[in-house]
Amino acid sequence: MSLKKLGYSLLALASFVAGLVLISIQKNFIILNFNTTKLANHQTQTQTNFTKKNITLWFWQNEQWHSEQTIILWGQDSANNLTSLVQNWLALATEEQIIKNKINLQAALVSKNEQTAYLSFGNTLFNKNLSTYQKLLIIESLLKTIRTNQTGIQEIQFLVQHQIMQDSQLDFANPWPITGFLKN
Amino acid sequence: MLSKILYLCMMFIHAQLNSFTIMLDPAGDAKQAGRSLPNGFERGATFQFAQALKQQLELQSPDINIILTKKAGETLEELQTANFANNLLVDLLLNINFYEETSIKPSIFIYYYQNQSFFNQSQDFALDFYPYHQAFIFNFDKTKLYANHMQKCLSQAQYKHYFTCQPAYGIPFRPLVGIIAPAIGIEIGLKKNGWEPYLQPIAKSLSEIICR
Repeated sequence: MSLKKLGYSLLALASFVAGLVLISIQKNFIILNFNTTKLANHQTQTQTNFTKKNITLWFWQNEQWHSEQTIILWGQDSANNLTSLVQNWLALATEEQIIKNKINLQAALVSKNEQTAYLSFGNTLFNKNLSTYQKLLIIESLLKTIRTNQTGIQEIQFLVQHQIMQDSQLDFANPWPITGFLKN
Repeated sequence: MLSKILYLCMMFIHAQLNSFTIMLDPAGDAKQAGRSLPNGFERGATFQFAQALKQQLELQSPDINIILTKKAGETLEELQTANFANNLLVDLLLNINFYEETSIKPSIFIYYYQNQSFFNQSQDFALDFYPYHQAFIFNFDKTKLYANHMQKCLSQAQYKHYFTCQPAYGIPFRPLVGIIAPAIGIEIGLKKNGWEPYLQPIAKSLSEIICR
Protein backbone atom coordinates (compact mmCIF):
# COMPACT_ATOMS: atom_id res chain seq x y z
CA MET A 1 0.00 0.00 0.00
CA SER A 2 2.78 2.41 0.94
CA LEU A 3 4.58 1.49 -2.31
CA LYS A 4 1.44 2.36 -4.25
CA LYS A 5 1.24 5.71 -2.41
CA LEU A 6 4.88 6.41 -3.23
CA GLY A 7 4.23 5.58 -6.87
CA TYR A 8 1.31 8.07 -7.01
CA SER A 9 3.37 10.71 -5.27
CA LEU A 10 6.24 10.28 -7.79
CA LEU A 11 3.80 10.39 -10.72
CA ALA A 12 2.23 13.58 -9.33
CA LEU A 13 5.68 15.14 -8.85
CA ALA A 14 6.80 14.14 -12.38
CA SER A 15 3.55 15.57 -13.84
CA PHE A 16 4.07 18.79 -11.89
CA VAL A 17 7.68 19.14 -13.10
CA ALA A 18 6.67 18.34 -16.71
CA GLY A 19 3.86 20.92 -16.51
CA LEU A 20 6.27 23.48 -15.05
CA VAL A 21 8.76 22.90 -17.90
CA LEU A 22 6.04 23.09 -20.56
CA ILE A 23 4.57 26.34 -19.16
CA SER A 24 8.09 27.78 -18.95
CA ILE A 25 8.67 26.98 -22.65
CA GLN A 26 5.27 28.41 -23.57
CA LYS A 27 5.87 31.65 -21.66
CA ASN A 28 9.43 31.88 -23.02
CA PHE A 29 11.01 31.47 -19.56
CA ILE A 30 13.00 28.65 -21.11
CA ILE A 31 14.18 29.14 -24.71
CA LEU A 32 15.24 26.10 -26.67
CA ASN A 33 17.48 26.81 -29.65
CA PHE A 34 18.64 23.75 -31.57
CA ASN A 35 20.14 25.74 -34.54
CA THR A 36 22.49 28.04 -32.67
CA THR A 37 25.58 27.16 -34.73
CA LYS A 38 23.71 27.29 -38.05
CA LEU A 39 22.20 30.73 -37.27
CA ALA A 40 25.57 32.14 -36.35
CA ASN A 41 27.00 30.91 -39.65
CA HIS A 42 24.08 32.44 -41.59
CA GLN A 43 24.62 35.79 -39.91
CA THR A 44 28.29 35.80 -40.84
CA GLN A 45 27.42 34.91 -44.44
CA THR A 46 24.86 37.74 -44.71
CA GLN A 47 27.33 40.22 -43.33
CA THR A 48 29.96 39.28 -45.88
CA ASN A 49 27.51 40.01 -48.79
CA PHE A 50 27.54 43.72 -47.98
CA THR A 51 30.35 45.91 -49.23
CA LYS A 52 31.09 49.57 -48.65
CA LYS A 53 30.34 51.61 -51.74
CA ASN A 54 31.26 55.20 -52.47
CA ILE A 55 28.18 56.84 -54.01
CA THR A 56 27.70 60.24 -55.67
CA LEU A 57 24.63 62.31 -54.87
CA TRP A 58 23.64 65.04 -57.33
CA PHE A 59 21.62 68.22 -56.93
CA TRP A 60 21.06 71.41 -58.93
CA GLN A 61 21.74 74.69 -57.19
CA ASN A 62 22.78 78.19 -58.32
CA GLU A 63 22.47 77.31 -62.01
CA GLN A 64 24.91 74.39 -61.86
CA TRP A 65 25.23 70.74 -60.87
CA HIS A 66 26.75 69.93 -57.49
CA SER A 67 27.77 66.52 -56.23
CA GLU A 68 28.57 65.03 -52.86
CA GLN A 69 30.25 61.73 -52.07
CA THR A 70 29.15 59.43 -49.29
CA ILE A 71 29.69 55.78 -48.31
CA ILE A 72 26.81 53.33 -47.94
CA LEU A 73 26.49 49.57 -47.47
CA TRP A 74 25.83 47.95 -50.87
CA GLY A 75 24.36 44.47 -50.98
CA GLN A 76 22.86 41.98 -53.44
CA ASP A 77 19.28 43.24 -53.03
CA SER A 78 18.56 46.03 -55.57
CA ALA A 79 15.57 47.35 -53.61
CA ASN A 80 17.66 47.75 -50.43
CA ASN A 81 20.43 49.50 -52.36
CA LEU A 82 17.91 51.83 -53.98
CA THR A 83 16.32 52.60 -50.61
CA SER A 84 19.70 53.59 -49.12
CA LEU A 85 20.55 55.66 -52.19
CA VAL A 86 17.26 57.57 -52.26
CA GLN A 87 17.21 58.08 -48.49
CA ASN A 88 20.70 59.59 -48.64
CA TRP A 89 19.67 61.81 -51.55
CA LEU A 90 16.52 62.96 -49.68
CA ALA A 91 18.63 63.83 -46.62
CA LEU A 92 21.03 65.86 -48.77
CA ALA A 93 18.22 67.58 -50.70
CA THR A 94 16.55 68.60 -47.42
CA GLU A 95 19.87 69.80 -45.98
CA GLU A 96 20.58 71.91 -49.10
CA GLN A 97 16.96 73.19 -49.07
CA ILE A 98 16.26 71.79 -52.54
CA ILE A 99 13.21 70.21 -50.88
CA LYS A 100 11.58 72.48 -48.32
CA ASN A 101 9.68 69.91 -46.26
CA LYS A 102 11.11 66.75 -44.76
CA ILE A 103 10.01 63.86 -46.97
CA ASN A 104 10.45 60.19 -46.20
CA LEU A 105 10.71 57.28 -48.58
CA GLN A 106 7.92 54.84 -47.73
CA ALA A 107 9.00 52.03 -50.03
CA ALA A 108 11.35 51.29 -52.89
CA LEU A 109 10.56 48.25 -55.00
CA VAL A 110 12.21 46.86 -58.09
CA SER A 111 10.39 44.81 -60.74
CA LYS A 112 11.36 41.19 -61.39
CA ASN A 113 13.47 42.06 -64.44
CA GLU A 114 15.20 44.79 -62.36
CA GLN A 115 14.40 47.42 -65.04
CA THR A 116 11.59 49.37 -63.37
CA ALA A 117 11.75 50.84 -59.89
CA TYR A 118 8.76 52.07 -57.85
CA LEU A 119 9.52 54.84 -55.38
CA SER A 120 6.76 55.71 -52.94
CA PHE A 121 7.27 58.91 -50.94
CA GLY A 122 5.37 60.10 -47.89
CA ASN A 123 4.54 63.41 -49.58
CA THR A 124 5.11 65.19 -52.88
CA LEU A 125 8.66 66.37 -53.58
CA PHE A 126 7.60 69.81 -54.79
CA ASN A 127 6.61 73.08 -53.24
CA LYS A 128 3.36 74.33 -54.82
CA ASN A 129 4.87 77.59 -56.13
CA LEU A 130 7.85 76.10 -57.95
CA SER A 131 8.16 76.52 -61.70
CA THR A 132 7.95 73.42 -63.91
CA TYR A 133 11.65 73.72 -64.68
CA GLN A 134 12.56 73.74 -60.97
CA LYS A 135 10.40 70.64 -60.47
CA LEU A 136 12.07 68.98 -63.43
CA LEU A 137 15.49 69.69 -61.95
CA ILE A 138 14.53 68.05 -58.65
CA ILE A 139 13.45 64.91 -60.52
CA GLU A 140 16.52 65.12 -62.76
CA SER A 141 18.79 65.31 -59.66
CA LEU A 142 17.28 62.09 -58.32
CA LEU A 143 17.46 60.35 -61.71
CA LYS A 144 21.07 61.46 -62.19
CA THR A 145 21.96 60.09 -58.73
CA ILE A 146 20.40 56.69 -59.50
CA ARG A 147 21.91 56.65 -63.01
CA THR A 148 25.43 57.54 -61.85
CA ASN A 149 25.54 54.83 -59.21
CA GLN A 150 24.86 52.04 -61.73
CA THR A 151 21.83 50.38 -60.27
CA GLY A 152 20.83 48.94 -63.65
CA ILE A 153 17.34 50.51 -63.39
CA GLN A 154 15.95 51.88 -66.66
CA GLU A 155 12.74 53.63 -65.57
CA ILE A 156 11.16 54.93 -62.38
CA GLN A 157 7.53 55.18 -61.37
CA PHE A 158 7.03 57.98 -58.85
CA LEU A 159 4.37 57.42 -56.18
CA VAL A 160 3.05 59.24 -53.13
CA GLN A 161 1.41 57.09 -50.44
CA HIS A 162 1.49 54.20 -52.96
CA GLN A 163 -0.64 56.19 -55.44
CA ILE A 164 0.58 57.92 -58.62
CA MET A 165 2.25 61.24 -57.77
CA GLN A 166 -0.08 64.13 -58.61
CA ASP A 167 1.20 67.47 -59.85
CA SER A 168 -0.43 70.30 -61.80
CA GLN A 169 2.40 70.58 -64.31
CA LEU A 170 4.21 67.23 -64.48
CA ASP A 171 2.60 63.96 -65.49
CA PHE A 172 3.70 60.94 -63.44
CA ALA A 173 1.08 58.52 -64.79
CA ASN A 174 3.84 56.71 -66.71
CA PRO A 175 7.31 55.72 -65.52
CA TRP A 176 10.08 58.25 -66.17
CA PRO A 177 13.15 57.08 -68.11
CA ILE A 178 16.35 57.03 -66.07
CA THR A 179 17.95 59.32 -68.67
CA GLY A 180 15.42 62.06 -67.86
CA PHE A 181 13.95 64.57 -70.31
CA LEU A 182 16.49 67.41 -70.15
CA LYS A 183 18.87 66.08 -72.78
CA ASN A 184 18.46 68.87 -75.35
CA MET B 1 -25.85 71.08 -71.46
CA LEU B 2 -27.75 71.95 -74.69
CA SER B 3 -26.14 75.38 -74.81
CA LYS B 4 -22.73 73.75 -74.40
CA ILE B 5 -23.41 71.38 -77.32
CA LEU B 6 -24.67 74.29 -79.47
CA TYR B 7 -21.60 76.31 -78.52
CA LEU B 8 -19.32 73.41 -79.51
CA CYS B 9 -21.19 72.94 -82.82
CA MET B 10 -20.91 76.66 -83.62
CA MET B 11 -17.24 76.62 -82.74
CA PHE B 12 -16.70 73.54 -84.90
CA ILE B 13 -18.39 75.14 -87.93
CA HIS B 14 -16.51 78.38 -87.29
CA ALA B 15 -13.22 76.50 -86.96
CA GLN B 16 -13.84 74.69 -90.25
CA LEU B 17 -14.60 77.92 -92.11
CA ASN B 18 -11.44 79.65 -90.96
CA SER B 19 -8.00 78.74 -92.15
CA PHE B 20 -6.18 78.50 -88.79
CA THR B 21 -7.61 77.89 -85.34
CA ILE B 22 -5.72 78.55 -82.13
CA MET B 23 -7.02 77.43 -78.76
CA LEU B 24 -5.75 79.38 -75.75
CA ASP B 25 -5.78 77.47 -72.50
CA PRO B 26 -5.04 79.60 -69.41
CA ALA B 27 -3.89 77.59 -66.36
CA GLY B 28 -6.20 77.32 -63.36
CA ASP B 29 -9.97 77.47 -63.04
CA ALA B 30 -12.70 78.21 -60.49
CA LYS B 31 -11.47 75.34 -58.31
CA GLN B 32 -7.72 75.69 -58.76
CA ALA B 33 -6.16 79.10 -58.08
CA GLY B 34 -2.72 77.90 -59.17
CA ARG B 35 0.58 79.36 -57.97
CA SER B 36 0.81 82.59 -56.02
CA LEU B 37 2.24 85.52 -58.00
CA PRO B 38 3.49 88.98 -56.93
CA ASN B 39 0.04 90.45 -57.75
CA GLY B 40 -2.47 87.68 -57.05
CA PHE B 41 -2.78 84.13 -58.28
CA GLU B 42 -1.92 82.30 -61.49
CA ARG B 43 -5.58 81.69 -62.39
CA GLY B 44 -6.48 85.39 -62.75
CA ALA B 45 -3.26 86.45 -64.49
CA THR B 46 -3.32 83.67 -67.10
CA PHE B 47 -6.98 84.35 -67.91
CA GLN B 48 -6.36 88.10 -68.36
CA PHE B 49 -3.29 87.36 -70.45
CA ALA B 50 -5.25 84.91 -72.66
CA GLN B 51 -7.99 87.49 -73.25
CA ALA B 52 -5.45 90.20 -74.12
CA LEU B 53 -3.55 87.78 -76.38
CA LYS B 54 -6.80 86.87 -78.17
CA GLN B 55 -7.51 90.57 -78.86
CA GLN B 56 -3.94 91.18 -80.00
CA LEU B 57 -3.95 88.18 -82.36
CA GLU B 58 -7.34 89.16 -83.80
CA LEU B 59 -5.93 92.60 -84.58
CA GLN B 60 -2.76 91.18 -86.14
CA SER B 61 -4.42 88.37 -88.12
CA PRO B 62 -8.19 88.94 -88.56
CA ASP B 63 -8.69 85.76 -90.60
CA ILE B 64 -7.68 83.34 -87.84
CA ASN B 65 -9.99 81.82 -85.28
CA ILE B 66 -9.08 82.06 -81.60
CA ILE B 67 -10.91 80.11 -78.91
CA LEU B 68 -10.51 80.29 -75.15
CA THR B 69 -10.95 76.98 -73.34
CA LYS B 70 -12.94 78.51 -70.49
CA LYS B 71 -14.81 81.57 -69.31
CA ALA B 72 -14.07 83.34 -66.03
CA GLY B 73 -15.37 81.31 -63.07
CA GLU B 74 -15.75 78.12 -65.09
CA THR B 75 -14.33 74.77 -63.98
CA LEU B 76 -12.89 72.20 -66.35
CA GLU B 77 -12.54 68.53 -65.57
CA GLU B 78 -9.35 66.65 -66.32
CA LEU B 79 -8.90 65.97 -70.07
CA GLN B 80 -11.82 68.29 -70.92
CA THR B 81 -9.48 70.73 -72.66
CA ALA B 82 -8.00 67.83 -74.67
CA ASN B 83 -11.53 66.73 -75.55
CA PHE B 84 -12.47 70.23 -76.78
CA ALA B 85 -9.26 70.58 -78.80
CA ASN B 86 -9.65 67.14 -80.40
CA ASN B 87 -13.33 67.70 -81.26
CA LEU B 88 -12.78 71.17 -82.70
CA LEU B 89 -9.79 69.99 -84.77
CA VAL B 90 -7.72 73.01 -83.75
CA ASP B 91 -4.44 73.74 -85.50
CA LEU B 92 -2.56 74.80 -82.37
CA LEU B 93 -3.20 74.76 -78.64
CA LEU B 94 -1.31 77.16 -76.41
CA ASN B 95 -1.36 76.45 -72.69
CA ILE B 96 -0.42 79.51 -70.61
CA ASN B 97 1.26 79.26 -67.19
CA PHE B 98 2.84 81.81 -64.86
CA TYR B 99 5.09 81.52 -61.83
CA GLU B 100 6.78 84.02 -59.54
CA GLU B 101 10.28 84.75 -60.83
CA THR B 102 12.99 84.90 -58.17
CA SER B 103 15.95 85.44 -60.52
CA ILE B 104 17.00 88.94 -61.60
CA LYS B 105 16.16 88.32 -65.25
CA PRO B 106 12.84 86.59 -65.98
CA SER B 107 12.68 83.44 -68.10
CA ILE B 108 10.19 81.99 -70.55
CA PHE B 109 10.00 78.21 -70.90
CA ILE B 110 8.43 76.40 -73.82
CA TYR B 111 7.25 72.82 -73.38
CA TYR B 112 5.67 70.20 -75.60
CA TYR B 113 4.41 66.79 -74.53
CA GLN B 114 6.63 63.73 -74.67
CA ASN B 115 6.72 60.68 -72.43
CA GLN B 116 8.55 57.42 -71.92
CA SER B 117 6.26 55.50 -74.30
CA PHE B 118 7.46 57.69 -77.17
CA PHE B 119 10.92 56.14 -76.98
CA ASN B 120 9.48 52.63 -77.29
CA GLN B 121 7.04 53.49 -80.08
CA SER B 122 7.72 52.58 -83.69
CA GLN B 123 7.11 55.51 -86.04
CA ASP B 124 4.68 53.78 -88.43
CA PHE B 125 1.16 54.61 -87.26
CA ALA B 126 -0.94 51.55 -88.01
CA LEU B 127 -4.72 51.49 -87.53
CA ASP B 128 -4.91 50.68 -83.87
CA PHE B 129 -6.20 51.85 -80.52
CA TYR B 130 -3.91 54.36 -78.87
CA PRO B 131 -4.18 55.31 -75.19
CA TYR B 132 -4.80 59.01 -74.51
CA HIS B 133 -1.28 59.61 -73.24
CA GLN B 134 0.03 58.65 -76.70
CA ALA B 135 -2.18 61.16 -78.56
CA PHE B 136 0.79 63.52 -79.01
CA ILE B 137 2.71 61.16 -81.30
CA PHE B 138 0.55 61.92 -84.39
CA ASN B 139 1.70 65.55 -84.63
CA PHE B 140 4.97 65.25 -82.76
CA ASP B 141 7.24 66.58 -85.53
CA LYS B 142 4.94 69.53 -86.24
CA THR B 143 4.69 70.34 -82.53
CA LYS B 144 8.46 70.26 -82.16
CA LEU B 145 8.82 72.51 -85.20
CA TYR B 146 6.32 75.06 -83.82
CA ALA B 147 7.94 75.00 -80.37
CA ASN B 148 11.42 75.52 -81.79
CA HIS B 149 10.18 78.29 -84.05
CA MET B 150 8.49 80.03 -81.13
CA GLN B 151 11.66 79.69 -79.07
CA LYS B 152 13.70 81.17 -81.91
CA CYS B 153 11.30 84.14 -82.21
CA LEU B 154 11.40 84.81 -78.46
CA SER B 155 15.22 84.58 -78.37
CA GLN B 156 15.66 87.53 -80.73
CA ALA B 157 18.14 90.21 -79.70
CA GLN B 158 15.41 92.82 -79.14
CA TYR B 159 13.95 90.80 -76.22
CA LYS B 160 17.23 89.76 -74.59
CA HIS B 161 17.23 92.81 -72.38
CA TYR B 162 13.84 91.88 -70.89
CA PHE B 163 13.83 88.09 -70.61
CA THR B 164 15.63 84.88 -71.50
CA CYS B 165 13.81 82.30 -73.57
CA GLN B 166 15.05 78.83 -72.59
CA PRO B 167 15.29 75.96 -75.13
CA ALA B 168 12.05 74.11 -75.89
CA TYR B 169 11.78 70.90 -73.84
CA GLY B 170 9.77 67.78 -74.60
CA ILE B 171 8.57 66.61 -71.19
CA PRO B 172 5.49 64.87 -69.71
CA PHE B 173 3.71 68.24 -69.33
CA ARG B 174 0.37 67.43 -67.76
CA PRO B 175 -1.82 70.22 -69.24
CA LEU B 176 -1.03 68.86 -72.73
CA VAL B 177 -1.96 65.21 -72.11
CA GLY B 178 -4.35 63.71 -74.66
CA ILE B 179 -4.17 66.48 -77.27
CA ILE B 180 -3.76 65.29 -80.87
CA ALA B 181 -3.16 68.72 -82.42
CA PRO B 182 0.19 70.47 -82.00
CA ALA B 183 0.15 71.69 -78.40
CA ILE B 184 2.64 73.98 -76.73
CA GLY B 185 2.86 75.05 -73.10
CA ILE B 186 4.51 78.34 -72.17
CA GLU B 187 5.56 79.19 -68.65
CA ILE B 188 6.51 82.76 -67.89
CA GLY B 189 8.34 84.01 -64.82
CA LEU B 190 6.45 87.06 -63.59
CA LYS B 191 7.84 89.91 -61.53
CA LYS B 192 5.95 92.82 -60.01
CA ASN B 193 5.51 94.54 -63.41
CA GLY B 194 3.03 91.80 -64.43
CA TRP B 195 2.44 90.03 -67.76
CA GLU B 196 2.10 93.08 -70.06
CA PRO B 197 5.75 93.07 -71.32
CA TYR B 198 5.30 89.52 -72.69
CA LEU B 199 2.10 90.09 -74.64
CA GLN B 200 3.59 91.61 -77.78
CA PRO B 201 6.50 89.13 -78.16
CA ILE B 202 4.25 86.08 -77.73
CA ALA B 203 1.60 87.44 -80.09
CA LYS B 204 4.34 88.10 -82.66
CA SER B 205 5.81 84.61 -82.31
CA LEU B 206 2.34 83.06 -82.77
CA SER B 207 1.68 85.22 -85.85
CA GLU B 208 4.92 83.96 -87.36
CA ILE B 209 3.86 80.35 -86.74
CA ILE B 210 0.52 81.06 -88.46
CA CYS B 211 2.31 82.66 -91.42
CA ARG B 212 4.50 79.57 -91.84
